[in-house]
Amino acid sequence: MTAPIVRVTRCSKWYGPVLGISDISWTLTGGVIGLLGPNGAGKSTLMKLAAGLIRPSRGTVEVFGQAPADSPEARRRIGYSPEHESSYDDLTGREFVRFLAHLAGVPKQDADGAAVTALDAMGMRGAMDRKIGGYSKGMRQRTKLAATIAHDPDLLILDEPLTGVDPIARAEIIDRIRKIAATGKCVIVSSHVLYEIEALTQTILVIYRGQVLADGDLFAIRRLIDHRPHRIRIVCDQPRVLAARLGAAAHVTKVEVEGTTIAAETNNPDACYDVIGEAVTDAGVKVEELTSPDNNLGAVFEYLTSDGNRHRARITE
Amino acid sequence: MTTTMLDSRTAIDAIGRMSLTRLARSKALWISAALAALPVLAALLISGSTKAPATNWNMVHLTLRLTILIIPPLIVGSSLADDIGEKSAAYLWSRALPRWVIVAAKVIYLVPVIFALAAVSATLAWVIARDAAGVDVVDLGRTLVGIAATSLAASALTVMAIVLAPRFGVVIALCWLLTLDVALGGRAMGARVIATSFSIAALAEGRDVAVALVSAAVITIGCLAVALKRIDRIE
Repeated sequence: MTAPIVRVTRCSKWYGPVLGISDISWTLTGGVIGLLGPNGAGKSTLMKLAAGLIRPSRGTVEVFGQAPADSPEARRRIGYSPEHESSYDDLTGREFVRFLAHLAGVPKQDADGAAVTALDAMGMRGAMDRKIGGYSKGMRQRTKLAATIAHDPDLLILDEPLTGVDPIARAEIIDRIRKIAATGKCVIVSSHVLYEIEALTQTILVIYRGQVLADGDLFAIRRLIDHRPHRIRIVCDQPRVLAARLGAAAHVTKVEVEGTTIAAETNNPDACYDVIGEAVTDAGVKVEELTSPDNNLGAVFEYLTSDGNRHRARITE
Repeated sequence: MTTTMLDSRTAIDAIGRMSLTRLARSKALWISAALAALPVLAALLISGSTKAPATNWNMVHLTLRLTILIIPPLIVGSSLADDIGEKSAAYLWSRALPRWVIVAAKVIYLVPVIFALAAVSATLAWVIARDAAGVDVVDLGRTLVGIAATSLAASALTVMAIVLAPRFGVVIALCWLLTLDVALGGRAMGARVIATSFSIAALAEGRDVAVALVSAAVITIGCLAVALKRIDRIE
């Protein structure tokens, strides 16, 4: 049996009266895992516990068999990228990464080479001798990631590495994280955006209000969501024509019209979109707005939380 | 790549050198240098004065005391607050090193800068005003010892304030040093444990030097002990 890299046992963390996480037990043996949850769910708290930045109020956290908050040896094998920006704006990217690589245990004479290699891997070689203060958000994120990998850690903990970056930088960062993971590193990455995690891994841990709602395969969780009707909201110029077509479809379970707005519920969103498309092409319906309130992570949480504790067990499909 | 656990001395050296690099690029250094020029300006003003020598030297001393109480929060305080602030602490906290080395690095590498600024200022002021103020080289020596003791004590007090309240530590330290400490520092308080500025005054005027040094030592040790104990619990 593979020894766990991270083992969290009945762990709770309070910040004064505020609950960070509550009675979480979780084991990570390798690979890439995505921590999903809305802001304030407890993702960062769990990551800080694993990185050794904070201690649990109750329970235990072990990384490589040791409590990270008390073990510099365990922390030496961790690369942690915090959510917040650095305040090292007066340093160049190279100086920043070199400094942190040295503090992580890279010998002084090797630290510059390690920094250059890491910055190069993150696509920052061309800008590494410029001050961080002049970097864009995406460049800062990549520099932070370079500082995280420069000492070649066995476990990477990346807290919201894609927050605030533009789509091109986001794609680049995702690609680089995937490459790191392909080298066999264990990666924990958090986000509150489902598709960002989806691009990195299929294994997720869903946290909500400090508790684990689901732990396992992403697609299994999505299939759970597909079992319930999806809501679709359409604003168009001929709502009654479109509503009649939707009402005639077997997969549509509910249609309501209010003014120019249609609210429909369907068991098959793709087929429903086909009906809407046909109404546009055949009947000349002009759709001004088409939204699905269920098509985001918030709906996942709503679904999981509204269904009692049924889904809190590990999903193993 | 082979990584090793850094020993504390190497970690202190790395953090200390980085602190100096960042200080050299910061406004805090230039503001501190400008403040350190105040005693020299005071010396220039009194150099032609016909007032009593003691009055003249007191004027230099007043600015010197003010300077030595403001510079530590600016230099040590802002540097430490930068490193352990909410948005940046994770970089150092997540490294394989004990937290106390951060405090040690700041004190070991930045306090000499504070001392150097104040000492150069005091020496220049003495050179300019020694005739008008009637002070000899022994007085200068006492003043320099007082500056050294006060630099250390005020820095330790600042470190403690930053560690206890990272976000407001600089302001708290400034308020403490410029109000409470000044109010109590000039008097022969019972314990004299917060009489940092008394060090300079006592040493310069030859009053109760031993008590002044003990006072500075108690402040330094007490504040650093609190800071070192507390820094491990910051979250």
